[in-house]
Amino acid sequence: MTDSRLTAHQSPEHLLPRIRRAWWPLLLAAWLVLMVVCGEWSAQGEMRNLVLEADSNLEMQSLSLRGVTQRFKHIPFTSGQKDDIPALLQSPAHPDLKRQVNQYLHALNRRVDSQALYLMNEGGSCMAASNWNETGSFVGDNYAFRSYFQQARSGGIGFEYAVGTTSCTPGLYYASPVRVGETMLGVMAIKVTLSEIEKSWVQTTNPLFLLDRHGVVILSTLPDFLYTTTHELSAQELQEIDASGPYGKGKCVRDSILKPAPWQSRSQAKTGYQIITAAVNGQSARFLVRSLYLQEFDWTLLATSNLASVEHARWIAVAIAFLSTLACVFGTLYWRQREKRVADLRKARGELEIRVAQRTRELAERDAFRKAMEDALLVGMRARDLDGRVTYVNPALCDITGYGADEMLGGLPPYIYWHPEDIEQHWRDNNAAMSGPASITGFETRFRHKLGHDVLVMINNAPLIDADGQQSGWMSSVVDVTAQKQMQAHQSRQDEQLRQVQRRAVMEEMASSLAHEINQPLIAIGASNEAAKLFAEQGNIPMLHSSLERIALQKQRAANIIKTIRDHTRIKTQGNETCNMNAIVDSVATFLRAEVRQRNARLVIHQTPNATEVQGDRVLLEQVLVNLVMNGLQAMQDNKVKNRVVDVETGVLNGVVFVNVGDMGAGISAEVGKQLFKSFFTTKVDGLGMGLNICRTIVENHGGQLVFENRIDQGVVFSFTIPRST
Amino acid sequence: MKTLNLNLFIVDDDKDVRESLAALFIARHYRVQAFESGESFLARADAQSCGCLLLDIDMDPGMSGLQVFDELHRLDSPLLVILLSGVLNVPIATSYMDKGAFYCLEKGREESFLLQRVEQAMQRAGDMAVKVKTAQDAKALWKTLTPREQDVARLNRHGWVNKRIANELNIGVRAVETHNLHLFKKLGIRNSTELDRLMRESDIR
Repeated sequence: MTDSRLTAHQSPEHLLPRIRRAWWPLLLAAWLVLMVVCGEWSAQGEMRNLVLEADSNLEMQSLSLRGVTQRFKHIPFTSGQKDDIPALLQSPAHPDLKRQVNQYLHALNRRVDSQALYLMNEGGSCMAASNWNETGSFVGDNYAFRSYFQQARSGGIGFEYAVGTTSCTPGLYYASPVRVGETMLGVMAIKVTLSEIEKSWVQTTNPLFLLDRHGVVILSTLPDFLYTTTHELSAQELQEIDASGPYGKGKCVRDSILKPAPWQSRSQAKTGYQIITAAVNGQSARFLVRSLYLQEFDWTLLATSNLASVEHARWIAVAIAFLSTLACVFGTLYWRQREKRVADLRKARGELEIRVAQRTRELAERDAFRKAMEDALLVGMRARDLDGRVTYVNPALCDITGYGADEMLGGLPPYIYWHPEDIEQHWRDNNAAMSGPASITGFETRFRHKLGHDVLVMINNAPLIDADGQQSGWMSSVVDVTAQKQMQAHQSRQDEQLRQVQRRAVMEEMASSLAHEINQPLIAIGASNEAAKLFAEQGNIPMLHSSLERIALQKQRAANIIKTIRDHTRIKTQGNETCNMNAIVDSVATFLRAEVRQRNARLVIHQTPNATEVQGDRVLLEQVLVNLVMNGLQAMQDNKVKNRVVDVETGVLNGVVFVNVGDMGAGISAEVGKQLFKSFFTTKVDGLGMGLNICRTIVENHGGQLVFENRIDQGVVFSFTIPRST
Repeated sequence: MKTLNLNLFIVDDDKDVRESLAALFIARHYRVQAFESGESFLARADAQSCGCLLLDIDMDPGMSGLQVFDELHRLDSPLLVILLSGVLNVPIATSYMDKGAFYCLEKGREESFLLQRVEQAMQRAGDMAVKVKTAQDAKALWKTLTPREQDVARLNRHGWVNKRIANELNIGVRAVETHNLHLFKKLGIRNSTELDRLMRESDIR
């Protein structure tokens, strides 16, 4: 993926769906419509809430109104039943009576907590009142114009809401006729203020209106609306109002009286509510209006709800719609971008996974290949860390040692497969390998198989280098050379036997011809000797002489034969060169290395740093040393492995170079020692008895000596000296 | 018993050995004849005479001792052969002992041993010489018989009665009796048992 592509994918235009340019206004319109619809839907919902709110308000206020009015409705009638009342009406001038009624009304008024309770005669003049002794007393006033008086005068219960002409306070009037029998004497009336209700109305935030039967506002939370009319009044109604003056007369008339209510009304019959625009606290506001017709009062109660919340709700909804659509769009953008990124990531991850899988497969294949190779190897493999802890073994090593991988892993020296008899040697090899230079080293050793038999192995150690180039341990290959060694041993045994047979054949041939030659003079001598004896007995002197002469001749003949043979077979000093005895020892050590290893023995060499040059034949001197070392090895073949050591020491003493060859064998008994250098004397099963003899001859031919001495503890030391060359 | 007509032959290519042995046995009064090779021995010595032959196996050049021995065997020689060798090869010695050699000796052995063996051989040869002499005498007598007497003798040795011999030979019983009388007298015997022994020992058929 290129950088430019990456940038293109990140730009929003490309994230949006590819839309034709012509579609854009439509989309925009649809979006606007959606928002409007949302706002409308929210507004309708809010409107319904407002309607409910207004309705509940209506319900509550109507209950409140009814509660107040019902309390006072029957008080005029019941209070008119007192005997004093008709009595006063019948005798209006009676001062005691008047006082009593006044006091009675005063007391009653206080009890029922009304504004005023008063008695009128049938002419409408106030005869007695609860406020008879207060300023603004009703007594003496005439209320005949009041419709509640007219209603009561005509025999019913008078009811009116009106502004008092005396007190200028609005109130609710109930009136009831006072009768004696069927005769109407007067009217009893009570005035109740709705101040309680008004007080509660003040707390409401939404304006409330109470309309009387003329549609005039008689109670309002907004003072500006008092006594305004909600609709055009007919002439008859104006006349009626003028007569009754329910909205105040004279000083009590307010400026706003009967003016159209200061609102713009918009009826919405279908929805069951009106919407008005009115100024509240100097601010114009729109209100929803619900009305409740109170039948018993012929009043209409209006409850409003501020439509501001509707608009509020609308705009909130629009805003929410706007924001949510924006959020949707941006969410979509974001989501698409994220999808894109996720897709890119997924793609990248997919590629990575493919690469990882491929690599894993390659590794697994390589690993499987490596493992198969390791498993197929006949060569045992062993890895160790720098402490010598075994960290890996392959199946071949398990086969070689007989131990399972779990038994060997984690093991530290001494390892379980070390041969118990060779522990010392194992430690030496191990320490040499671990402390040696980081290079490939190899040596032969012996393991003890789990089943108890010996396993001869060739071990090669190579340093294990980690990825940082640091040596992290050792890797060893272990080759089972048991069979090979056995074969080699068998082969060398056979070779040795063959050599023996050949040597024997040669010796036999030589001995045979020697015997043949020597037996001739011997039999001649024997016969002549016998003859001489007989001739001597017989006194045959000439024949005796002849026989004796023959004996002498035959003796000489025998001597000649032996001399001839010796001359032919004498081991002569072939070469006469300057040889370094140390070099001879080294050469022999190299020559015999395989033999020594095969016999599980060790050759320990101590060389003098002094000059060890001698004059002589290098090959013969080597032969002497080989012979002595071989004798030592053969003497120790029944020893334990750790006791199979041949020491070779060179030195210079008194102008003579000496070589000591010591073994740890059984030593040489005095009896054997006497015959040790005799020809044909041997203690070996298949020996010829010639070796030491030859050795001595060679050494003596070099002007030296060959001697031996038993060691104090174990074994024997053969020593030969050769004069140092000058 | 030293019989002068028994011979001791020595065959050895080694002059010293040959002469030493000859001197030794001459000193012991044997009739010694020494030869330097097998060829000269076979040419000049009487292979049919009785006695002992000391024969060196390892002779070179010419016939080896073994070839000489084989030749004597072929000639049906009555000579008792003692084989001598510088180094004795045991298998060869054994095979020749089986073939009838009297003894095989290594030259390195003590002289007394050789002397002992030669003594034994000469004794045996003496016995053989007696038998040979008897047989030769018997054969000489046999040759004095007439053919008819020889025929009767051949049948008589089996113990046949005269009448059966007469029928067999188709002659008269009286004639058989006469022949018997003559041949018994000539051969110096008395009955048919002695006749049978004489014929058997002399190998007359």
